[in-house]
Amino acid sequence: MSATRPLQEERADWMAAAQRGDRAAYELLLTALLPPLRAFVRRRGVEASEVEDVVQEILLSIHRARHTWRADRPFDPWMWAIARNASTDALRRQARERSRRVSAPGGFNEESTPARALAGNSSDPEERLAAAELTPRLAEALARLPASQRQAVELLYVEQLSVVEAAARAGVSPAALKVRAHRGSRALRSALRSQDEP
Amino acid sequence: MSRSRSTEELVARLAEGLDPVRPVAPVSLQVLAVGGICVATAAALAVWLGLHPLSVLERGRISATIAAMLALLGSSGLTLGLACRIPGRERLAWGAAAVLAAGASILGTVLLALPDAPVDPFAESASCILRSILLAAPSGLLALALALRGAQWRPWITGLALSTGAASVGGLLVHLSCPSPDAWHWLLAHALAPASAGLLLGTLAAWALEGIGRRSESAAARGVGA
Repeated sequence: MSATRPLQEERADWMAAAQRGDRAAYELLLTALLPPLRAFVRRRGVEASEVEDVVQEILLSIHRARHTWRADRPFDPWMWAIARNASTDALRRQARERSRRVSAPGGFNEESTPARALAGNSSDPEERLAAAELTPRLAEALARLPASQRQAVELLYVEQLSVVEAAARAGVSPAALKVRAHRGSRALRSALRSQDEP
Repeated sequence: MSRSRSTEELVARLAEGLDPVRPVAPVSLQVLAVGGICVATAAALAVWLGLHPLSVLERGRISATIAAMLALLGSSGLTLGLACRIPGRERLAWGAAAVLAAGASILGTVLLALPDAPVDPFAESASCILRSILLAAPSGLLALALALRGAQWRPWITGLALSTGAASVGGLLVHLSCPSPDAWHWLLAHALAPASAGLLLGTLAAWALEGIGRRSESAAARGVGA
C-alpha cells in the first residue's frame, strides 16, 4: 500500500499545488491515484461491479477533504485513511444490500429481469420475452413512483450511470441516491407483485 | 459509457472545478488554542470565585486523583475530537482514546472505592453542575468550530469526545474552586454529572455534524454534476 519515496513526494507536490488551485497538478494527482485505489478497493473485497463506484466515492471524499492535508505531513497516510474510510462505508452498504436481496428473493436489483427490462439489455431470449411483457407494466409502475425515487431508478438502472454520476445528476449525496433507488425498486417490486395476484 | 471511463471523466470534472483551499491548522496548534481558552477561562474564574489548587491537594488523595483524571479526560477528549477530523492522524486519535478510556476507568475505580453514598448524593450539587457546564462552553465551542473545519466525517466520535473533554475541563475548574469537603460531591457534581450532561450535548452536536456532513456531500456531488 505504501508508494516509493519519490512517488510519495511527487504526489505531495501535486497536492500542494492543487491546494493553491493548480488544476493540471490535481488532474495528474487523481489520475495517478486511480490504479492503486482500484487495486486497494479490490483487495478489500468490494464486488467487481462496484469497484468503480467505490473508487469514485473515494475520489469525491479526497476532493472534499483536500484542505485537511498539510504540506508538512506525508501525503500517503492521509490519502489511505480517506480510502479506508470510504471503502469501509461502501462495504457496509454492500453487506446491507446483500442481506436485503437474501431477505427478498427475486428482488429488484441490477441483475434482475425487471431491471434489465428497464435497461433493455438482456442477452437471454427467455428473459427478453419476459422483459417485453414486463416493460409496459414496469413503465406504468415506474410512473407511479414519487419523482425522487423514479429519477434514482432511471438514472441507475435505465441510464446505467455510476452512483456518483447519478448522485451528481440528482443533486444529492451518493448514499442518499442509493437509498432512493432502493426504496424505488422495493416499491416497483411490490407494485409488480400486486399486479400478478389474481 | 463504461464505469471506468466515467471515473476518468469524474477526475477531469473535479480538476476543472478546483478552487484553491487554505489547509487546516495542525492538530497540535488546534489543541494549544483550545488549551489557551481553558487557561483564559480559569483566569476569569480565579477573578470571579478564586481557584484553590493547593487545597485540592490538601483534601487528600481522592480529591487529587479526581483533579488529575479530569485534566486527563479533558485533554484527551479534546485531542481525540480534533485529531479524528484530520485524515492520517489516526495514531494520535487512538492514543488519545486510550488515555480517555484509562482516565474513565480510574474514575470508575475511585467511585467503587468510595464508602457508602449519602442519602441524597446530589444535594447542593446543582450549582456546581451548572457552573461546570458554563465553564465547559468556551473550550467546547472553540473545539467544535475547529472540528467543523476538518474532514466532514466521524461526527459521533467528534461530538462525544469533544463534549466529554470540554465537560471534564469545566468539571476540573469547578473542582479547583469548590470548597466542599465531600468526596461524593466531588465525584458526582464535578465529574459524573457534568460528563453525562456533556454526553447529552455531544449527542446533539454529533447529530448536527452528521447533518452538515450530509449536506456537504450533496453539495460536492452537485458541484461535480454542474
